[in-house]
Amino acid sequence: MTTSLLDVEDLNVSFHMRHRSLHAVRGITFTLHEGQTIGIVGESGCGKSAAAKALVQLHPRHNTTIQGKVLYKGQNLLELSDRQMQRVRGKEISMIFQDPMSSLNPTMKIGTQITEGIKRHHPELSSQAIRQQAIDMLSKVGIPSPELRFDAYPHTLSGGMRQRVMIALALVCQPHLLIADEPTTALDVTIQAQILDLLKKIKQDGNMSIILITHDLSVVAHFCDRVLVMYAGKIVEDAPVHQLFSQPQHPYTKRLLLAIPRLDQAKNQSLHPIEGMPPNLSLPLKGCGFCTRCEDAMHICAEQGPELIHVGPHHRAACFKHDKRARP
Amino acid sequence: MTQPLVEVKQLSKHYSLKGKMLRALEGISFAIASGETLGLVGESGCGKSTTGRCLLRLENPTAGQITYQGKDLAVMTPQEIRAFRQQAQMIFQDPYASLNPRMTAGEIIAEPLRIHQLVPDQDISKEVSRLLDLVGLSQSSMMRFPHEFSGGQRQRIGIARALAMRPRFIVCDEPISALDVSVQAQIINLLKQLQRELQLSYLLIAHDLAMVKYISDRVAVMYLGHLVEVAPADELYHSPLHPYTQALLSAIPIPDPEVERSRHRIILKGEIPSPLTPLQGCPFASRCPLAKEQCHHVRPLMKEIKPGHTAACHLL
Repeated sequence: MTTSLLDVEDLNVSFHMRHRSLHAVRGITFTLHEGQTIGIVGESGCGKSAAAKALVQLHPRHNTTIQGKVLYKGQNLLELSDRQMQRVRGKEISMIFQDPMSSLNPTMKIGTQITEGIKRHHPELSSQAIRQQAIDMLSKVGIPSPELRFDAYPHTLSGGMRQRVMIALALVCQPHLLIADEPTTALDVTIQAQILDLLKKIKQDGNMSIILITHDLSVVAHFCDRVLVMYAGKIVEDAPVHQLFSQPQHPYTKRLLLAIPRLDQAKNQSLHPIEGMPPNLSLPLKGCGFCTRCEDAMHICAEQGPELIHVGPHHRAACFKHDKRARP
Repeated sequence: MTQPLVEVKQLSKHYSLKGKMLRALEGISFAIASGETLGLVGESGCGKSTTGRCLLRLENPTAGQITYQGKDLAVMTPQEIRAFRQQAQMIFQDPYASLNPRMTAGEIIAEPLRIHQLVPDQDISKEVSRLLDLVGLSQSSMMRFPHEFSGGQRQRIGIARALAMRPRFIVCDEPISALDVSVQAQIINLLKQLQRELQLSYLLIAHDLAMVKYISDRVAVMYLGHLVEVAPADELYHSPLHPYTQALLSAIPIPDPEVERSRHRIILKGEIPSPLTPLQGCPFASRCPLAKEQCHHVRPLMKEIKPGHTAACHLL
């Protein structure tokens, strides 16, 4: 049995605005084992990015409430001070973001941005050694002539190259956990294939776990061991990747798989969109978040929120259809 | 063969940029028949949107000819242009940016009707409600502002605005890429249904090849301002001929881990060259896994490999 690296227990994230509050993440619980890659999928506004940022506390403190537990190697990250948290970020847990243009500092050379992290976490190293480490990392992520690029500014690079710099920046201190928030969404498909291929290789080389956040189910099929499907701030399904695609249990997952076109399917098969819209997360949610769009909704679905229950040995789903009390 | 609705011959568009020449389009030719959907795919910066804009004369091409119903766009009289602008419409990518936030949905849809005086003033609101019905929006939408709608609903307003002109030809520039997956299918189904009911022709510009396959009759693949392959949709996906098309198709993940495991993926090396650097040979030569000496020096021409299936590659 592999050991768990990250245990998230009943995580809640709320944002407070002037006139209302938005309850973006509504009690999610999951475990990430060492060396595992999990994907968190869901549509915009389902809380996947809000949850990921809460793990490393990147939300501004003054208007965000985070509740629950984030146990990383047994330690609750939510109890750490800012200073202690700084030692975790970059060294233990790193994050890469969707848009490499806005997450790199346009006024700093690439080399300076990469060495910043090494200097912070390894103050004992000489500047020569730090420079060498940064250049090695740049060449590892496939940047041609890294010595020259070390002194370049981000705007001189293409989107794919910038995302490689982001990856180099995130991985230079060899973190144990990488959180990748839509790392390939802004990129073209052939470049996306390159970047995913690179992340896979790096993962195999080191002992790293990855949380991949994406809206794209096909990327998950290609890349992850396990998948969490989120809807309206909650995990609605949690399954090994093969089971999720072959035997989806939650109605939302089933409908989502029918709604996406596949390259390997015949042209004249029609698509089945999900009618309606997700609920407004600034309002309290009484029943199941999906019940207004669900074809199989029962009376109880509008009254009570379903728990995430086991429907197989490693497979959980939050739907009353799987409750023992539900009549067949 | 009947006359195509839109025909493009050797279209080129160059922009001068700080003394350099940016070659956005380089001699592309294709035709769209009446009632047909041509999908135009390629990666960002390959010139697909520029093609769409040239087709509606939102950009003036540097060279080449575009004809609509046999008439050359470049030599149309102002009256003819006005008539053409009515028949040829556009749906934009970003439903947030392409609707005026200060106008209600009803005003947005009514504006083209007023300008082109298609219906008498007293009938405009009746026409607007017919259009809302056509795109599946409720009548109460008329009085609401764009920010009160979701992304999918906004895209429906954009479609209703385009349909107000009773067009025959619509350029859809990435109509679904800003939308969530569950909503994308709604819009694609709507576009398909409207095409059947109103006999529309589409030029569908998109980078999502799986979606393009669903709606297009034929698909054209672009790379760096060049057309590299044109084929009927199913044939292009089953037997792509150009090495770029093959790499592009293999790069797209399929939402099924069983299929994914057995797939062979061609990972291209390098990146798309800058369109500012002048090209001698095949535009794809620098990344092509099969490139030969000749490919770097001689530009391949489009040739018909199978009936209806053309590609530009020296190896074919």
